[in-house]
Amino acid sequence: MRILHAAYEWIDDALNPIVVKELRQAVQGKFITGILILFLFFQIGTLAFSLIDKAATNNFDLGRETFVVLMTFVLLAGTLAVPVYSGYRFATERSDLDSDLLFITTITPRAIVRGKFLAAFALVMLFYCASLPYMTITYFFRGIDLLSIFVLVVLSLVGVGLNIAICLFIACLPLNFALRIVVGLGALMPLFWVFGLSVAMTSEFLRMGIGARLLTWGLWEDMTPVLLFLVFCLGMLYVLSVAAISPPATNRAYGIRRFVTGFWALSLGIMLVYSVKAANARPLGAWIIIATGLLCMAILGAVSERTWCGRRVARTIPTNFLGRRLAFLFYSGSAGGLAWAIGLIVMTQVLPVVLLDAWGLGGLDLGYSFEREREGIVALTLYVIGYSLLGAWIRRTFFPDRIPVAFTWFLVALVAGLGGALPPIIGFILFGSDEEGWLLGNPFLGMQNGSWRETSLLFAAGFAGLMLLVHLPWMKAQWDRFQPVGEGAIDLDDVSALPS
Amino acid sequence: MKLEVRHLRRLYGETKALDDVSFTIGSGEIVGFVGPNGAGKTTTMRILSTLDEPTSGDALLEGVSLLEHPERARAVIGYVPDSLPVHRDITIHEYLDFFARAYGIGLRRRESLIQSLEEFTNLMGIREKMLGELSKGMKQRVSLARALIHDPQILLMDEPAAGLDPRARIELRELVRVLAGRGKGILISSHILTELAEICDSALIIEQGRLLRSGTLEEITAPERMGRAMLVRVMADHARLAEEALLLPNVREARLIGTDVEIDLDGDDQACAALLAAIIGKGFAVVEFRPRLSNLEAVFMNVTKGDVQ
Ligand SMILES: Nc1ncnc2c1ncn2[C@@H]1O[C@H](COP(=O)(O)OP(=O)(O)OP(=O)(O)O)[C@@H](O)[C@H]1O
Ligand SMILES: [Mg+2]
Repeated sequence: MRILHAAYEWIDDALNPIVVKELRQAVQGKFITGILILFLFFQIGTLAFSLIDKAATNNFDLGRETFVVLMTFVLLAGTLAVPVYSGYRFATERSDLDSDLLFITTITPRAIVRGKFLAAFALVMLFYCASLPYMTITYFFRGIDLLSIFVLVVLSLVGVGLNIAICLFIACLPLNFALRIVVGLGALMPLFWVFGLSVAMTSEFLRMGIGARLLTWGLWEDMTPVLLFLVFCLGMLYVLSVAAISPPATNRAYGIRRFVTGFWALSLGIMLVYSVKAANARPLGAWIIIATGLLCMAILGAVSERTWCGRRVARTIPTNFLGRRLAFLFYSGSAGGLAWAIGLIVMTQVLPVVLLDAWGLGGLDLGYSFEREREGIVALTLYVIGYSLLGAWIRRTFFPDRIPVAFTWFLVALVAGLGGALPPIIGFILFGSDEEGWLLGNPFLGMQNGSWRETSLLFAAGFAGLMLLVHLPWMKAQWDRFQPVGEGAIDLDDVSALPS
Repeated sequence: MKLEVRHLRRLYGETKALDDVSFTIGSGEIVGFVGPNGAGKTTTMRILSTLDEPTSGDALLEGVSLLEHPERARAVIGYVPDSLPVHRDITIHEYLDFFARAYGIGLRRRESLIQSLEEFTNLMGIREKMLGELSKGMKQRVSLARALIHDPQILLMDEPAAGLDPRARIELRELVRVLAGRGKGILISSHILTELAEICDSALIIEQGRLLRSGTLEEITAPERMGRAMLVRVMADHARLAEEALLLPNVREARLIGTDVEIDLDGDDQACAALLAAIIGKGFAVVEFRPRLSNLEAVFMNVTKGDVQ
């Protein structure tokens, strides 16, 4: 008895408070109960319809068809209704005017995000459980096996998790009501996209008989890159959400950069092994392109970060030679973030090729159009570096007080838009020329399959190089300022003590 | 635990909600926070509770910066907001249980802790009620119980008496005294100055984001006690009193208001006592002799202008 009690106590203490509260509220509230009843109604309806059908005809695919319909209902609830509901609730708790008091308890941001996620997931499981009896009945129709049912149910949870993470992430963003609505509406696209893909995946996998193919390499050969990408999305949304609700004085960039770097190394390793095993380096080629593209966004993020890491983070800077250098790359701070992102991009471009060579597999085909795509993405990256630094410079020089540093990315987008649009207009009006050379300021020029790729690559390299050169003294100053701060009395008239 | 607020400034666009506000709250001290609507009281409390951030300035808890370590501040600061955020579909008991869990209080302590808090704030009988169904005063009590869950050393109370019935008000005053007796520093805002004056050791007067006066009650009411208006009620002959009072020493002005006589007096408590003695000496039967405004109210009316920004 005593052990039982101790176990109960341990479990209770380990429970995430938010999960407990959200489930209590969901049970007592009307929304989830209402949806659940509606849901059961549809499930029973579908099944009844199939039963009638079964009696009337000799449909060999009836089990499969019924299952897909049932699954569609589950996915409607799991990838759309519950995530949107959870995100909406979370967002209202976090609105500026009425910030929920939960955020000023000692609970950690991680526990909040995890709790919200688990609570939403538990609600989805409720729908799955309610549906499972009906799903298994389809087995008694024809065209489906139990293993397939099981595998599909598990796989569909990935989509569920992804959509919950998307909704919670949007709820975490520090936006005002209007902006949140805009972003929320924008997010409907990926949400529906995931829902559609999940439904499509269900019927496609059933058609090819996933149950029987589960243990074949061919299946996993196709699935590995996709799963890897999905895991990345989930993890990224998690660290971004946590950073978004952490206090500004904390080392918010650290968690993100650590995760990205870790995942970068892990996925590179997996893709390399995969390339060697499959004797096919095309997925690795795709990895290079996608990773570079994603890291471009990290550059935009870096210029929008605070310049100095702040006193609290500075207290944790290691004093040894290597520690301080690593900390500079990984800790909050604009200059370090830029160095980190650019360094990682260079490694993404160089390392896989070097490693393949070292493996004696230099001749492996990285993809049919790899070289072309690579040139395109490198050009884009150079443009992003150039415009980001230009935007950051403009903000620092002309609007240091007017535009908050967190909105630098917006300024960058604006400048890049002008850089792409103004020269051709000027060229046409002033010189009456519609030569393509005027388009060189357009960041996407290099992505085109045209004769301009090389010129734009050169131009972008010059642009990025120039901006980097301009920024060198600034980078140096930031590095010099990146010094450990000792414990000690705080001089409150020292305004620079606050992160800015 | 000492809370030092330094040079707080908070801008909302052009509006200076707070403009260079500095003060200190010591342990066991009850500080009244008064000011007209829109003065910046709620803004100050939101910043101190880490719900909001100042444009500049900081607050130190035992020398630790609130901006640098909001998590540490959260562990020692309790905040009773002026309105309870909406949490539907949850009972009072579950709500308190949730916050106890959020503060990391384990099962072993939680049950008894919540029970004692419910008794302390008189919620025991209604603990199974849904939060959405509560009246304003009940919500206020839930809010107080919630703020006390982690036994904070500093308590920020934003108009806690608003919406409470007379009995609850008196009980609240007792609670506040008990809490201060346990060494908690308490910042309490209210528009009912007479009530506030009864429990506070010191007060802050704020208007348009600027701290106009601060100090112990004695200190900040001293200037107003030099010249004040007294209300005198006598059994009969009030008209005669209004005339004769003018001849008494230190009396600046005397007028009849209904059956009361209002006398403007120059001078301190001494002059006040002398006035009463003189009135009685003239043979008036005095029923009532009191200041027209309480000290704090007089200061408030003198110091603030009633402008809103
Ligand atoms: N979210 C906000 N956005 C813009 N202005 C705000 C916001 N919150 C407060 N203010 C402004 O800040 C000033 C101070 O407001 P605050 O709520 O602190 O006043 P208060 O002293 O609590 O008033 P009351 O006695 O009415 O509760 C006001 O001018 C108010 O309009
Ligand atoms: Mg207020």
